[in-house]
Order: sequence, then C-alpha cells, then structure tokens
Amino acid sequence: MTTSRRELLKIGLSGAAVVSLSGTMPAFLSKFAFAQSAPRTQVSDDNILVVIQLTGGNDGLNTVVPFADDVYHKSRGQLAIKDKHHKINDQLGLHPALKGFKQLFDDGQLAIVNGCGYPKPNRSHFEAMNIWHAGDPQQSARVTGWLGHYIDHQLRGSDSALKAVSVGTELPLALSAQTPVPSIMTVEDFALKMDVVNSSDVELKRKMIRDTCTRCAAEAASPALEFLGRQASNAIIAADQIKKLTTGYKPDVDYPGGLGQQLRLIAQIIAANFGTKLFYCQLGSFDTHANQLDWHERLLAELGNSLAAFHKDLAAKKLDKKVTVMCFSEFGRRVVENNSRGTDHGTAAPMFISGGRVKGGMYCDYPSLTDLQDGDLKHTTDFRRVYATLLDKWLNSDSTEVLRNKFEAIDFI
Amino acid sequence: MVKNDVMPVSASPSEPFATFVPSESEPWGVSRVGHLYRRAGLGASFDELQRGLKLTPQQAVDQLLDYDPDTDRMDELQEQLVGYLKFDEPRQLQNWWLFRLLNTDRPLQERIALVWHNHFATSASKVTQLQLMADQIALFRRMGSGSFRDLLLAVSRDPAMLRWLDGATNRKGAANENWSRELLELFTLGAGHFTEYDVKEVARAFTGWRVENSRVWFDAGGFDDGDKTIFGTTAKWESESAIDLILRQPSAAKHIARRLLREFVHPGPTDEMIDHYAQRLLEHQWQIKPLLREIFASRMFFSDWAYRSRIKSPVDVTVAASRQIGGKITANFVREQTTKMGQSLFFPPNVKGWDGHEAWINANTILLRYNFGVAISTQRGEAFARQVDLEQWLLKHDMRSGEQIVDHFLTLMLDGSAPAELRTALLTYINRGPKGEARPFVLEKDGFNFKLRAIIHLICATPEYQLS
Repeated sequence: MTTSRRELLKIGLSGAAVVSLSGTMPAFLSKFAFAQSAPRTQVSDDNILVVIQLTGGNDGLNTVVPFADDVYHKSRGQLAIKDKHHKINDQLGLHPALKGFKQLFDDGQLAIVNGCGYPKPNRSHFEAMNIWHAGDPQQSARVTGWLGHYIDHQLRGSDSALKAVSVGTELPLALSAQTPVPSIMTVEDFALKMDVVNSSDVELKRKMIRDTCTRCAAEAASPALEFLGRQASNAIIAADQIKKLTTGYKPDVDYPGGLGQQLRLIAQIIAANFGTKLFYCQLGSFDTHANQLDWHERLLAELGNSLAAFHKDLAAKKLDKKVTVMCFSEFGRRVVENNSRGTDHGTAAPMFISGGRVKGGMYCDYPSLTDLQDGDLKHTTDFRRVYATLLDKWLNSDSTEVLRNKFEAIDFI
Repeated sequence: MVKNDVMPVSASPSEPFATFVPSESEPWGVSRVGHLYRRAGLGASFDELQRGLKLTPQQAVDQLLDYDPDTDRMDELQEQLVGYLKFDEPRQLQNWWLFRLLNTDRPLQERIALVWHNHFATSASKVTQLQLMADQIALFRRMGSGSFRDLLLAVSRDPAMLRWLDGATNRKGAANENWSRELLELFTLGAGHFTEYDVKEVARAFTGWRVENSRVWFDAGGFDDGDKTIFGTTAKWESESAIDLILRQPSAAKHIARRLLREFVHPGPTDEMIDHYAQRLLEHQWQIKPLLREIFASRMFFSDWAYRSRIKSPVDVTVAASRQIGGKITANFVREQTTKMGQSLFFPPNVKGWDGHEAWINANTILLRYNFGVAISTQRGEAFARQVDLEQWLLKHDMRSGEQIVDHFLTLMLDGSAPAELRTALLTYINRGPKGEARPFVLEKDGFNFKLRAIIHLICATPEYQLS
C-alpha cells in the first residue's frame, strides 16, 4: 500500500475531508466521496444492467398475444385472451394485466424481442435454465454463468465492494463467478450484526471492529491482512450506508409487494452509487400447468406494475438513463393448452428490454403458430443475440469473449 | 489465480526442505501446533492444542497422517443410518459431509477429500444422481492419500465424472473431448503442455466407458481400438496406458506438487519448491501420503512465510470455529452459512473449482464471516443442537479475570500471536463497566456472560482470524 493511499484511507474512514480524496484509494470510497461532492457525469462505464428472471417458463403466447390469429384462439379454447388486451399493432397485444408494460411501450422505453430461443430446445426447467444462465446451449462443464464470466473478465480491476448484487437467498448460475457475488435478501441481512445487550455495548464493539479493520488496512503487516482490512472496512461502510439510506429512504413512487420490493432495494442501491454494474432478481413460479388464467394474470400484474414503478422511481431520481432491464424465462409454453386449463413446457418466447436508453418497439419475427416443431414454436431469434447486444452496446464488453461466439446485435439500444 | 499484490511471494524460508527442528528462536509452540492443525486438519480444540504441544512435530504429523482409509467410524455410522440418511436433495448430501467435517476424528482425511473435490471439481448441478456425487467423495476419502496414478485412473471411471465431463457419451467415431481436455489442462499437465491434437487423441483412448443405472461398464464395441498419436508417440493407447503416458510428462508431477503446496502450504509456492516436491513425488512413485509427510515436516511448512498466508475457506471458518469453541452447531446451519459465503459443497462454480484465497472475500462474505462470530459465540436458536457451557469450563479451569479470559481465547483462536493492539482493545472492552467506567472483569458464576461471549465474537471479527 502506498503512503498516500494509506493516509487517504485513514482520512476516508474518519469521515473528514472526504472531498479531497484522489483516485489512489479503493474505488468504493472514492465513488462515495465523489458522490458527496458533485453529481456524477454520465459515462458509459456507469451503465447498469438489471436482470429479471421469470422462473418456471412464462407463457409467451399469453404475454404478447397474437389476438388476430385464429390458430391461437383454436389452440387456446379455455385460455385465449379474447379482449382487454393492450393493442400494440393489428396482430399483437399485451396481456390485460401488463398495463405497466403498455405504458413503458407507449413511452418508447420497452423493446419486445419476439421468438427468443435456441436450436434443439430443452424442456427440462433445470437444464433449460442452465442453458440460459451459461449462455451456452451445449451446457459444457465450464458452468460459469454468462454474467459471471463478464464479472471475472471485465470487472476484474474494479475494486467496488458490490460489483454485482443478486437479490434473493441463492445465487443464480448466471452470476456464478470466481469472485463471489453477494446475495442480498434484505437490507437487514447486509449488515454488521451484534449481540445486542445495550446500545453503549454495541457501540463499543462496533468501534473495536472498525478500528481493527482500519489498523490492518493501514499498517499492512502483510498484503493479505491489508486486503482483508480494506474489504472489511469497505463492507462496513457500505452496510452502514445502505442502512442509513433505508432508514431515511423515500422511494419516489409506491412499489407493489413481491418483485416490487426487490426492485425497490435495487433502486436504493443504485441511488446510493456504489458502482454496482449488475443486479439480478427473480419472479415465479410461471410453471402454469393447471388453472393458468388467474395465476398468470397475478404474476404478470406483479411484473408489469413493479417494473413500471421501478422506472418511474429511477426517472424521478434522474437515473433512468443509467439503467437497462432485461426480462427472460427459461422457455415458453406449448401452443395448445392442456386438459387442466394450463399449458405444458414449450420453447420460444419473447424477451423484454426496458429503460431510458432503450429504443422501444417490436423486434424480430413473431413465431408462426402453424409452422411448428413437435407442437412447439420454432424460435426466430437466438437469445444470445440479446445477450450480445447488451454486453457490447450497454456494458461496454466483448460478447465474443463472454459467449465464445459472435452473435448479431439487435437494434434495441 | 493468485494475485501477487495480495499474497506475499518473497521472503521464503532458508533451507526450506530440511526437517523442521524446534529451537529457541523457532519453538514448537502454540503457533506452530495451531498452524499444523489448521492446515493438515480442521482446527484444534483446546485439548488438541495441549496434546499437540506435548508431542514432537514428527509425532503430531504422524498422528494426523496415519489413519487407515479402509476403516472409518463415520462410514460405520453412515451404514447404521441406512434408511434414515437419504440423498433426495442436495442439501441432505451437503449436510452429511458437513456433519462429518464437524465430527470426524481424522480431519486430514476430510481435508484431502476437500482438496480433490476442488481439483476434480464435479458439480451436482449436472450430476443430478446425488448418490454418485456421494460416491465420488467416498472415493477421495479412500484413495486420496494413496497413489495419485491409481486415484486418477479411478476418477476416469467414476460414474459422476463420466457424467460431469460427458465421458459416458464418448464413443468410437463420435468422440467427446470434454473429459480429455480437462484431464490434460486441469487434472494433470496444465495449459500449454499439450496440443489440440493431443486432446483429440486422448479422447479416443477413453472411448467406450458407459454409465447405466449408476453402474459403470466398458462397452468394447464403443471403444476406438485404432492407433492414436499422443505427445508424438503412436500406439494403441487405451485409458490406463494413456494415464501412464500422461503422468510421464515432465509437467505432470509439477502440476500436482503445485496443487498440494497451494492447498497445504502457501498460495504462491516458488518454482524451487514445486520442482523439489515434484521430484519427490516421482521418487515416491506418486504416493501422496509420504509426500505430505515430508511437506508437513519441513522448515518451509513451519516458516513465517507459510504462517497465516492463506485466506480460510468458508468451510475452514465455520468448521474450525465450531471445533475450537465447542457446542453442537447443526450441519444445516453450517451449510446455509458456507453457501452464503461462497462455498456450496458439491457445487463448485465450474470444473476449475474454487479459486479460493482472496476470491472468497467480498463485501457480503466478509460481513457474513464477522456475523458468524455472533452466532458461534452466543449459540442461540435452532442453529445449535447443544450449547457450549463456556462459563462452567472457564470456572473449572480457574480462568476468571479479564486478562485470563482474553488470553485464553487469543491462544485458542489466534495461537496467542495477535497484535498487541488487539489484546489491549479486548482487555479495555472486558474491563469496562456499563457506564464506560473502568471495572476489572471477574467471572464469578455459571451462566451466559455477554462480555466473555463478546470476546469470541470480536476475535472472529478480525482480519487475522480470516487467515489460515
């Protein structure tokens, strides 16, 4: 550790003169310092990707509804959406519960990418999800996730305490990386915990722990101790900051429950400016084998309303140009409904990309409902084209490196 | 990969390969005993530390190493639990291994199984028949300290591995190179020591192995019995002769020596060390146990250079703390904690295994490690099947003053070699009354004492405690 860095770290941790810190200090601290001194400028390196996983296989046909197609109505005697859909054009409309999506679409902030899939589709939840997470239909044993690969290779230099955050208890394979990605279920979980005896005892212990970290970071008795001291110091500050923001945090909109609360947490962390590049959250289960109508409607309402609230909140904080959201599911469902008023595992389905920098609209061909393979839709768009577009045009990365192949970009960014 | 800016690579010890002999300047004290039990075991309890101090280094190493892999109390227990112990879900399998780690009386055997689990990193994310995963770890326990050549041959025919790297679909005319590539790149030689052509030809030598109903069999009809050219030598290579050929490559012994030195000694062993132990490995005809005995007996192993040079894995942190402090922590709680901290047993991130060291640490995982200190020190709730009666133990051993208690836990958890500032801070904390006034601490009665419990928490929540 250089002398200047050591001194700066001490200053930073004591909370004084933060504004004067230079770039030699840990990125998190300098970002924090900078955030207090002046608004951050818009550079592409600040772009943030939020992935929403629709777990269980979302029924694409009842999400982006081909309402003008007779085959659709014949195939879906019980489940076809007959009215109240939000018309997008003469052929297609959004499910009635997707009011939130319609608003984003009308504002030009929602791209719908039709017919996403891959060759030889897999209908096992588990294996199909692995394929989407790995970004690799071959499912090789190198099961680092596509985002994990991005973290390992492109974010290796980043010293941020929170390069990527998964909201939830378990880390998805997509984020599986050599650098462990934190899973944050709640703000409460991301905190320095204490056995609470009384407040003065808690304060004493907190101070001791902080002092020990600072001493290790500053003294640098060994590189490992310095590294650990620095990580712990950063984490404690990050946790305290997150806690402070939650306590005093007022979202600029009302978020619905479920996914809405996950996105609210993500908005909080984005607003706190920790330098986090990736967020991941999940909604489910979309595995609607029986009595699909109410179930699917509830999920889509949760999805649409939560996403709309999220973008509205970001816009109010003037962060809407920094954030892009991608929604996907491991597969769509079969064209013909089953005998339980539900649908079974199918293949191609739409993906959704939203955000202030997204060029809204319809992309790629809607799959034919007559030209089927084993009763399933043939995909028109390899899902990795969406990944490649986001990697190259949004995350300033090299998609060929991450996906081990070149995929044609789609014009939604 | 280990980044040099995090771990020291200089200041390696003098005469590293000579046998360590205790002296006045390099005593056989708590630091070295604790170091041995952390690296070659799973952390020492107070009694184990005391016993270790009375042994010679050689005796202590022998006690850890000389177990008979064919008889195991834990295996007997597992047999008794047939019908109760089900591996329907990954968590059950993970809990069983963690239970063994928490309770075994032969920690080095489990440590070696962990090393090979990381080396031949196979994941239940693809091998969904969990019994096969359990069997693979049992293979590591049974053969992990024997001949690496025999271990490698067994792994090449292990059903979990055949599924994991698609060996089971590798057949004549339709070779699958997944196993062959990782065999060369990760398991034996390292990148740069073979060609793409070698990968293709080695794949052909391993054709014909099948897995059916969890049983492995050799399908002679699927085997490619033609000539193959591997490393420039043409012959009718098959799996066993190919393995012997691969292990004759100069980089093979170095690759394995480097792996063992990294896991047991230091994240960045020098070339001189790798070359020395690679040579010794060959002289021992690939036997792992005699090589480990030499490593553990060496000046290198007991040097300041090796001491606290590695960052503990999540399993190290949780299992060692439990073995040190006592009490009955549940395997399920350890599973939840280690998973959150980034080490979900049976689910390595990919075939390369866990990078370890500084890759274990990020903002969330360091907080989880610190917070684990609260759990292990207070032992409240369902995470603990039985709580440790620390107060009674301390009273029985006549440890009552703040100084005695702080020094006891610093000895147990940090080998008594903690920075003076830490000891002073702990003493200041314990000898302070509710209003912040100075009040010498005296443990007077049995029952939960929050001050002394906090000492354990505060030691867990130090950078030093994260190091092995």
